[in-house]
Amino acid sequence: MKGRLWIGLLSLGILLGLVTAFRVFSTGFVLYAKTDILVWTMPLAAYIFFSLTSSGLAFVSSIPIVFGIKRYEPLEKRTVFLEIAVLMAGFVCLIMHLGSPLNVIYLLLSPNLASPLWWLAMLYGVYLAVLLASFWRIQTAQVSKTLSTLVFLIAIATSTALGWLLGLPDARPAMNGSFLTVYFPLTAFACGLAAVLLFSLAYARASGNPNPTSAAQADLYDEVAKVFGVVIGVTLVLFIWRAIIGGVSSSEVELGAFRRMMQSLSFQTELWLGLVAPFVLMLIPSVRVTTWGKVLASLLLLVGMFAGRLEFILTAEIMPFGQLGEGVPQFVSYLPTISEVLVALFGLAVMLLLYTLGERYLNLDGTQEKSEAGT
Amino acid sequence: MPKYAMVIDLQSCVGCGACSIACKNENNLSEGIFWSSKITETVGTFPNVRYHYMPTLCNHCEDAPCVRGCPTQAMHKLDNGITMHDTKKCIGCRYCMYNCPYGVISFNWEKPFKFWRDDEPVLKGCTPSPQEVVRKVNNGTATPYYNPARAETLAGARPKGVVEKCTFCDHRVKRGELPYCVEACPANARVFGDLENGTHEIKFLLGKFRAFRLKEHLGTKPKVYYIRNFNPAAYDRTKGGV
Amino acid sequence: MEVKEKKKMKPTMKDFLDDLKLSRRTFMKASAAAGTAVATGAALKPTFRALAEASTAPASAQGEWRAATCQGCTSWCSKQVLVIDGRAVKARGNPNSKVNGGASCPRVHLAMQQVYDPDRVKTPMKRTNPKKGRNEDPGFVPISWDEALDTIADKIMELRNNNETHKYMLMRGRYSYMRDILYDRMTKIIGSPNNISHSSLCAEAEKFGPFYTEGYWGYRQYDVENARCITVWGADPLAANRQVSYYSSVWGKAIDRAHIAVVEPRLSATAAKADEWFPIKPGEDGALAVAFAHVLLTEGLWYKPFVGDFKDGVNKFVAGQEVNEEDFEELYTHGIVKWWNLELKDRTAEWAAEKTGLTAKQITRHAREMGMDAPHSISWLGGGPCMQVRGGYTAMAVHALNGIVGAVDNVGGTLKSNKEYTSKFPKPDDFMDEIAKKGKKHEKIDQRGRLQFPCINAGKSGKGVITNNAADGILNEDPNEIKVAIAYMNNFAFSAPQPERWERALSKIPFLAHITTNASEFSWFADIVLPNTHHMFEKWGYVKSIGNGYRQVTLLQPVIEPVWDYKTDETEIPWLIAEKLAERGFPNLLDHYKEYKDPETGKAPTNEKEFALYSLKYATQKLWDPAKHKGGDKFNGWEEFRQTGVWNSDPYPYRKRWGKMKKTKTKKFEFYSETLKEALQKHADKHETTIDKVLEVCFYQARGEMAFVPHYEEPYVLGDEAEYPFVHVDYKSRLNREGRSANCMWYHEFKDVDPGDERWDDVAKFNPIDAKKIGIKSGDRIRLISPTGKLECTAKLWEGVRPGTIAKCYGQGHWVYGRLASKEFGKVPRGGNNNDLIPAQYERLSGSTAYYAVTRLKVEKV
Repeated sequence: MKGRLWIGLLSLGILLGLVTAFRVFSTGFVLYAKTDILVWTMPLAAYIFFSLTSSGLAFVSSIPIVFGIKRYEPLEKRTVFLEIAVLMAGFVCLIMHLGSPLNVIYLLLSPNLASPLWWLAMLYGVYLAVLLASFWRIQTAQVSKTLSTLVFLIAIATSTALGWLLGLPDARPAMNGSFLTVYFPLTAFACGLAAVLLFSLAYARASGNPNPTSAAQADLYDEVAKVFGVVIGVTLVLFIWRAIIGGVSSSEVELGAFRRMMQSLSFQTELWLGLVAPFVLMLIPSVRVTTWGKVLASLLLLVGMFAGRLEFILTAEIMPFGQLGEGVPQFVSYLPTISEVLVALFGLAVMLLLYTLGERYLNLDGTQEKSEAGT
Repeated sequence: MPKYAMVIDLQSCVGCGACSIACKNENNLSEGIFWSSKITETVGTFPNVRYHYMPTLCNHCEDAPCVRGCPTQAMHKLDNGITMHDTKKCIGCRYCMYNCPYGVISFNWEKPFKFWRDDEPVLKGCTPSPQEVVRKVNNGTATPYYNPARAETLAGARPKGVVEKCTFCDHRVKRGELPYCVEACPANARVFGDLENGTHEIKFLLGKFRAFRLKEHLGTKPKVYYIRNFNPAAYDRTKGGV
Repeated sequence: MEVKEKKKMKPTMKDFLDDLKLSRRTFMKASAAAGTAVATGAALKPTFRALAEASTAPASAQGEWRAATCQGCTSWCSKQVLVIDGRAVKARGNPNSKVNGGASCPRVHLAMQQVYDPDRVKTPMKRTNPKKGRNEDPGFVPISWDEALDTIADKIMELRNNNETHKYMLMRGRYSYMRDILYDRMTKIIGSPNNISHSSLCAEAEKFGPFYTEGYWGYRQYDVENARCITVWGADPLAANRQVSYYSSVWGKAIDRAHIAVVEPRLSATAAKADEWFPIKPGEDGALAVAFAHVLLTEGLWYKPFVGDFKDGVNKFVAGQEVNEEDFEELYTHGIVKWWNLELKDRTAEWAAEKTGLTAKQITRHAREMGMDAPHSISWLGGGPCMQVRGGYTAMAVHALNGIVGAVDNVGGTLKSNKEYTSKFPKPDDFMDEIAKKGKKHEKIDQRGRLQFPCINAGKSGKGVITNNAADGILNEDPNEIKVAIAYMNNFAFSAPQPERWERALSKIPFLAHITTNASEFSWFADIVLPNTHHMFEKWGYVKSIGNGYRQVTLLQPVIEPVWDYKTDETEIPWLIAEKLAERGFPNLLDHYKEYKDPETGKAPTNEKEFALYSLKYATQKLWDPAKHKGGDKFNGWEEFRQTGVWNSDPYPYRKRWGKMKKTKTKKFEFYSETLKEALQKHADKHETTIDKVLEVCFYQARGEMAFVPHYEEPYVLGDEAEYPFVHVDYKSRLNREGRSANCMWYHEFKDVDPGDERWDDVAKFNPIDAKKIGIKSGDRIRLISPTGKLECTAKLWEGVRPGTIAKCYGQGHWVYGRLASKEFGKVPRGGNNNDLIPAQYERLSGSTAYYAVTRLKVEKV
């Protein structure tokens, strides 16, 4: 019953998403915030969120195979499958962000090697193929180190290239240049860890497969949580330095937008909910060892990081420049439209549905041995 | 091959906006889209106050960030230096808009000419609907005053989901005509020409005046130059005081 | 394709199809023009080829540039319209014009959105709701042209049968010089005195200054290219009226050479391009003008070759001291010493500084600049200083400065209009029967010429119109009631101050027909609305304008295929009415119109289309007929003139009028106006009273001799300062097409080309100091309230506004007119109409409506 309701809910999310897609592509992007000032908004933020989380999951999944830390093997299959599901969510949001998605064929027909966007598109294409292959090998218990290594390398490439994409343009000094190429992979890793914890623990419990099933597994989750805490801590330090550099010691012209964004809901959510709260939770050993502690910290981090992705994009945009500044205030404000929220939910629903189906039919708990036994 | 550039003499400019309106006319721009625009500023406090107007358009940068960032080469450079866009290759990612330091690229958030697609008359039976007028005058294409010449090198009216921007009126330049903003400027504040042509008027102006370009420090090498001041006011000289 | 098109085209287009082959001359001209535009020699070739193609296949995608005229403002520039397959695509200045040349101000482009405005009336329509009022939906339904014209003819015949033709009224708005057909001849032959033009809403007081000094009743041209100093008074030539295109084209050069100062309470478009801005207190322009004169005289800076000098060469103009008239020998002027003794001797810069809110230093410095640059020193009179209740003498004072510095009729100075050679239409007298003659003798409905409305235009009492007072005439049935009225291209219910009076007056007229492009506020009260052609694209006619030392006569032509069955206000409609009247046994009007024969064939017109064309050829014959050539451009015939689209006069003959100013009594430039003295005396005599009494009822302060010299008068501003703390400053948008462009998308998208204004909004601008005091910030919705009305708009804080004033642009606030012009058609205005704030007040000597420094305002948050 519960399962049906869940599937129903996800289907509804997808249905709403499809309706939104139809409306957006028939009426146009007026359904979004639709100004040439806020040119990138929540759909793109959602895409960045999902694709970075996917990269982060790739980092996690490469621990046992690429780096040979075997005790992480039980996480392998679920993590790789999650990567695929999350990446699909990212693709959904990306398509909903593109004005003319049918023209993507020109990525192949008319490539521009100087464009970070072109590289990203290519990498994601390869990434998906490699991921699928890699998962297939896991599913068929023929884990390929080569493929996994490739996944790891591509994940590094995509998460840093996203930093290139967003941080590079001289037009957007508030993006603080190369900061993003470090910050993105790091937060991606945090998101990956959070997703693993969240889906291993909470999702499994909700679907009636209590986890951990063994003491060894429990130890593993505690260790993951510890690493998770450390990563959040490092992120927090970076984040604070960004705030100091951009918010205190910068010139208003260069980073005025960032100063403004520091007062925004998305910035505050990112800082307090996404970094400080989970860090504190993971710092307290008695909380860290509990399932709820891990689940809560993971959830908060993911929510905070979603807000963070939006915050980054808005930082680049809220201070209109040049002729865009005519007749508008020094800073523009942004509130997502219903359609934009539905796009993000669309992505989420796709991801959850895929994952639910995976849980149901693909035995994501299984290690190679188990799956071998199963077949 | 010529390298086209524009010099804008701010002292001649009267800030009337004819360039920008004419541009909309020539290039069939939809509501809310401005290829040619301006940056205005009111400086000082009463009574020591002045208003300044600076026309803006695509700078046709030699090292154009929009071109560098475009994944499909939809945004590209022509041999004559014009930064051109190819509607059919545009995936609508708007990375060019994110990349452009001048904010001169627009996105078609919806189907163009919403005003003209309306089918309601204000006085039933006595006035037509906008749609009816377009149908009667121009077979339902775009607007009644649609300029077919634009379609020679670019979609005559750009569909939703793609970006668009000033093309230095490449379709006109190709025929040996000046960009329409240049022709339409009543003040002759815009001078267009070929930087490679040593005897050309813009070479003269660029040598005579200390020209500046927008955000020069970014190294984009814009091809739109500004000379002189919108308000070259005379004043009584003093040494000030303490 | 061409064949198909011919079939499709209407008769008006036929004329053009006959002329598809560009004559060799026009072709050479066109390519030469394109050649100057394209500076590179290499680039010339393809242009040449493109044009060559166009000449053989004009219906191609390239289209054809056809001559036209823009009446978006009263600059009346000659234009060309690009026509592709009978469709207007874009417009540019007519390179054949010596006045505006290829230059076009921004408003011409909006004409595309006017001619194809979806909210233009496409068919004659009649009212079905007998109740009239702003809140009464007229219930317009479409009717045929026949039914509409039958109804109008019946109403006119009713008046004629009842011997009350003076109860017929014709109201005129934007016109061409075909106007007399409908405005004058038809009204006279029907038998009414009541042809009321809009002219005094425009700027009659502005003509008052030059007339009573140099005897010129008209707008001036200013020789800015040769000027060394330009002082602009309440004019905004880079934005509005007149010759915006021409002045825009030379302003950059003018700044190079001349010191430019702008006197205006708000930072105007022109002030933004000037060396100096004099942010004067509204209504105090006269003080500044006489102070400039004072400084010029005391410092000996008058232009001696024009004004003359003291016999002993010693300057006796010393502040506060009278001068003996005998000591000064005047040359081409009259009364400089009288003026000094009566007015100027105490008008020091210090005195003016207090009045104007400027500094004495600034005033003195600029006066010296004016004098040192004499005679190339323009004092540019705009509507601002004189369209005020006491603006007549300010107009004189401002213009008199030109006399002091010798800029009148001089290089780099102020010029009158050049000679042109159009002809008047045939006289109506023979066609006026007894009823008509009797009817015409009645007093006019605007009450002009009464004691309190001298309207002494061009020296004659009651000669000028007092448009806005006609509403009161109608309402009070004084001198009589109006039963039948026809109006064209006017919108007094929007464009005249205190328009609510017009709403009531129009509701009172039993039968009102309105000829218009859009259903306007005025149409709302009409019984029949007739769809008019658009002047720039669909009408035959001509207008005259001056600038750049030339006068032009530029043609209005039907250059496109009209979308619906519109008919032309000034020619076709009167002809059709004349036909209907003839059917009803009153052929006089039609018989008269048949006298307008085609000068080429001698044929009398047989239908309205022929009439429209023949009457134009008739009026312009001396311009295009080589046999009758008298001066200016010469053509080999009508066809060449039509294709060129414009006739240019001979260049301006400088200094030919010095000492020969025909219309002044002394034939000289009068600082002491004998001409005004005589005019006022005649008016006083007519009413058997004194000049002092006339001035008193006209709200002027001057008495005795002061009435004949330019002098300072305190501003007459309605509203108590304690209750209404702000003075209203009205101005015109550079995108206004006479208040008719608010339904154009580009008007709203580009409204911010007016300094301080915003796109898609109508803002009242406050100085931040004032705004802080009353707690208002940018973006607040506010209500402006004057003693006679109110409006709602948005507040904007802007430094370019003088504290104590609120500047707001005229042009928006339509509650009908179209889907963009109004917020909700027929109900809710978009923005606010300044006229709702402005009380119906007049500069009574000229009959001019007062727009400036006439009312105070208070502000409420909405």
